[in-house]
Amino acid sequence: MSSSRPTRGAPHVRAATSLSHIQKTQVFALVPVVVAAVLNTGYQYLLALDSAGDKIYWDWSDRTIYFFGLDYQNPSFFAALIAGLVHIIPILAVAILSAGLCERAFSTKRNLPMQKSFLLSALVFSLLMPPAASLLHVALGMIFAMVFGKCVFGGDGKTFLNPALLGVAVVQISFPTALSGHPLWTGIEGYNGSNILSAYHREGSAALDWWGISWWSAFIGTTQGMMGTTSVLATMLGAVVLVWRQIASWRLIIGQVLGLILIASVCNTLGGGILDMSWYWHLVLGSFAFGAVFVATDPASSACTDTGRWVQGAVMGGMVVMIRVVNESHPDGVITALLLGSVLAPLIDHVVVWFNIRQRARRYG
Amino acid sequence: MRIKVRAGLDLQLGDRPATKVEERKGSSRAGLLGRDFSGVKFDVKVEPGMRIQAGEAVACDRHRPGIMFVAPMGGVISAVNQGKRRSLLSVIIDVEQAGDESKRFDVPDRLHRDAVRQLMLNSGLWTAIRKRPFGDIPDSDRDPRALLVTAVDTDPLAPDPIPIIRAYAHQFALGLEALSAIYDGPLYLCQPPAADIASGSPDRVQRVEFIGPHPAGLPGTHIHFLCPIGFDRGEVWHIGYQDVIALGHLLNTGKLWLQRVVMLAGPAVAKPRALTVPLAAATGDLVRGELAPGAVRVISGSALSGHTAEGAEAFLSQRHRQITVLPEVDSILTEPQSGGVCDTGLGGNPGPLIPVAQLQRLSPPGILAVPLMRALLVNDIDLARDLGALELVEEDLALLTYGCPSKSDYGRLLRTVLEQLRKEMA
Repeated sequence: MSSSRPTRGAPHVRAATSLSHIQKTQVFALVPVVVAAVLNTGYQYLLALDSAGDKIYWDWSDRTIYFFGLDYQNPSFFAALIAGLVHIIPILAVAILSAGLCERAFSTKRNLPMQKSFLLSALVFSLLMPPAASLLHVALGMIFAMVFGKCVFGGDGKTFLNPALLGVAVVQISFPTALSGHPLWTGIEGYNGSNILSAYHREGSAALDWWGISWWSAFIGTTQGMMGTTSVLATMLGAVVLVWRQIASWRLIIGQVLGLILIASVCNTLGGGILDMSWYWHLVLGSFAFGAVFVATDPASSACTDTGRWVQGAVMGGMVVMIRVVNESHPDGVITALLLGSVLAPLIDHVVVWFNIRQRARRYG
Repeated sequence: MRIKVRAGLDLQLGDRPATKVEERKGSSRAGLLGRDFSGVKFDVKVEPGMRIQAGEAVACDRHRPGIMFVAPMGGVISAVNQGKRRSLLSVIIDVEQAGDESKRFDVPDRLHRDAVRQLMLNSGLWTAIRKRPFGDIPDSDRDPRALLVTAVDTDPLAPDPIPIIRAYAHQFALGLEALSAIYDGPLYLCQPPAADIASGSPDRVQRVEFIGPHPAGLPGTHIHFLCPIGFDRGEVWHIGYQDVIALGHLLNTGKLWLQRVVMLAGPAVAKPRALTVPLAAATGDLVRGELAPGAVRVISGSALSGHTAEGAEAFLSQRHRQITVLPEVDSILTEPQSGGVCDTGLGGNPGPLIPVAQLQRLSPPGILAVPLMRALLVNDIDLARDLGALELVEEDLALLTYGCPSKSDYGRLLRTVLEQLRKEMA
C-alpha cells in the first residue's frame, strides 16, 4: 500500500512519481503488446493447425483448445484469444512464480519489504519467449535473471542489466536451440515454423515471399516470432506512453533507429545475401522494436546523460544489424546487442562526464 | 542580449493574478530570521524588552563585525529564539505605532565605492547581497567578478517584477547607480524580455533578457550563462530587484524602505493577489481572513524554495517576494493523487534513484543531472565540485528534488557538500 506523507521542507510540492508509479506506467505501456501477443500467438497457432492437418502431435495445449471446440479452419477472434491465452498463461505463470520465489527468498533473508518489480521483469521476459518455449527453460532463465541480474545487486534501481534481458540471454546462450528451433514459433510440435530472419539468411529475400510476409503484415504483427515482439504497431503505442510520461528517453529509441539505419545502409552498399536487407525490413522483423522500446530503455541500466543516450542507442541499433548479418546462429541479434549496449552504458556515461568536466574547466580558465 | 532557457518546468499551482502595488496590509509583529543568512554566526545585541527603532542594529556577524543585521520594524523586542546548537532562529519585534519610522542614515553626497559600501553595511542592506559559491553574504572588502541584479522571477506564483519596478522606477534607477559605484566590473540586469525598466540607469548596466520556464529566473541560471564560477575563480554577487529599490529609497530619503510587494497566492488562498506589506511581517497577520477552509501550510517564499512559516519562523523572509499557501496533507493514509501537485504530499514512497528521462529536463542549465545527483547522494565532494556544484545553491536543485522518484532532498545534500567545500577552500 502506498501512502502519501507530507513533505517536511522545501520543495513543499513533489511530483507524483515514485518507483511504483514508474513500474505501473511501464506495465500500462505493455498492455497493447500483450493484447497483440495473445491474439497473434493464437492466430498463428490456428493457421498452422489448419495447414498441418493430421501430421501434428497432440500435446496438452492442443487438447485444451480442442476441448473448447474451436474451429481452426475458420479462425475467429475468440478462437485466437483462447489459443493465445493457452500458450501465454503457462509461460507467464511459471515466470512470475519463479521470479516471485527468488524475490521472496532474498527479501526474507535481508528482512526487507518485497519489491514488486519482479512482475514487470517476468512479463517482459515472457514476451521475449517463443510460444512453445519449455517451461523448464523459462523457470531457469527467470531464476538466473532475478538472482544474478537483480537481487545480488540490491534490487530496483541498482541493477546494471535489465533482469529480463539477462534472463533471455542466458536461455539463448545455454540452450541455443531452445529459442531458435523451428517448431517453437507457432506452438505446434512437428510443424515447420521458422524465424523469418534465419529463413532470410538461407534463402534471401525470396523467403519473405515464401512465408507470405509483407512489410505491413510484419508491422502490424501477423507474423511468427517471439510472442511479444511481432507487432511493431503495438510496440509503438507503448513507446508513446513511455516517452510521453518521460520515463523512457526518446533519444535512446531514436538513437537505436538511426544506428540501425546507418549500419544497414552500409551493409546494403556491400551487398549479397542478408546484407541486402534494407533498413525498413530490419526495423519490423525480429524483436528489434520491442527490445528498443521496452528493454533498452530500462532507466536503471541505460545511459543517464542525454549525450550518452544518443551514443548508447546508436551502438545498440548498429550492433543489431551487425550481429544479424554476420552471425547466422543468432539470426535476431537483438538480445546480444542490447546486452552489449547495457554493459557499455556506464563507460559511455563516464566519457560524457569527463567531457563535461573538461568543458567546465575550460570555461573557467 | 537575450538568453533562452529551454529545459525546465513551470509548476501549475493555480491562478497567478496580475501584480498591483496599491493594496496594503499591516502586521503587528516583525521577525528577523536567522535562516535568511546561511552560514552566519550571529552576535545578537538586543534582549527581550528593549525598545528599538527600525534600522538599528539587532545583531552582527560574529566573524565579520562590520556586517550588521538591522531591525526591520520599530518596537519592543519580544523574543530572541534560538534553535539547534544555539543558532539564531528569529528576533521578534512587537511593532509599535510609529514602527514604520526608520532611523535616519547619513547619505553620501557623491556615490563612490567606500561610502556606498559603508552605507549599505550600516543600514543592513549589505546583507541583501548574496555571493556564489555558497550563497552567503560577501565580505565587504572584496570585489566580485560580476554583480547581477535579479529582476526576473519564474518561481511558481511569483509576482511579476515589471509593475513593481515601474511603480518605483526612480528608486530602482538610483539603486542601480549606487550599485555601479561599489565596484568596477560588469553589472548585469537580468530581466524579462521586452521591458524597458532600466531607463535612466548608468551605461555600465548591461541588460540581459531571460526567457523560458523556471529556472530561467534563478540567479544560478544567470550566473551559469553570464559568468560561470569554479574553484579558486573568484565570486559572483547577486541582489534582488526589491533590494535595489530599497537601496534607491535609502539614498533618496536617508531612511529604510520598510515595505515589500509580495504575492499572496496558492491553491488554499481564497482571493490570490499582490499586497504591499511591512518588511519581515508576521505571516499569520498577512493570511488572516484569506484562507480556504481545511488544513493548510503557509510558506514564506515559493512552493519550491520557501520555508514553512510556523512557530518562531512564522515571518516573511526578507529575501522572499511571495507567500504560498498549500493544502496540507495530514493523513498518512491518503492515496497519492496521480498528477496532482497542488498539496504538500510526498507523492509516493522513498526509493532508489531511477534515472528517468525527465530528470535532465529539470536540471539547472549545463549540469548533468543524474551524475550530479549520484555524486551528492554518496557525498563525493570532488566529483560534485567538478560537475558544477559551486554554481548552485539549494533553490537550483529544487526542481530535481520535486521530480525525482527517490524523494531524496538534493538541496540539503548539496548544502552538506558545499559546507565541506567551504572548509577546504578556507
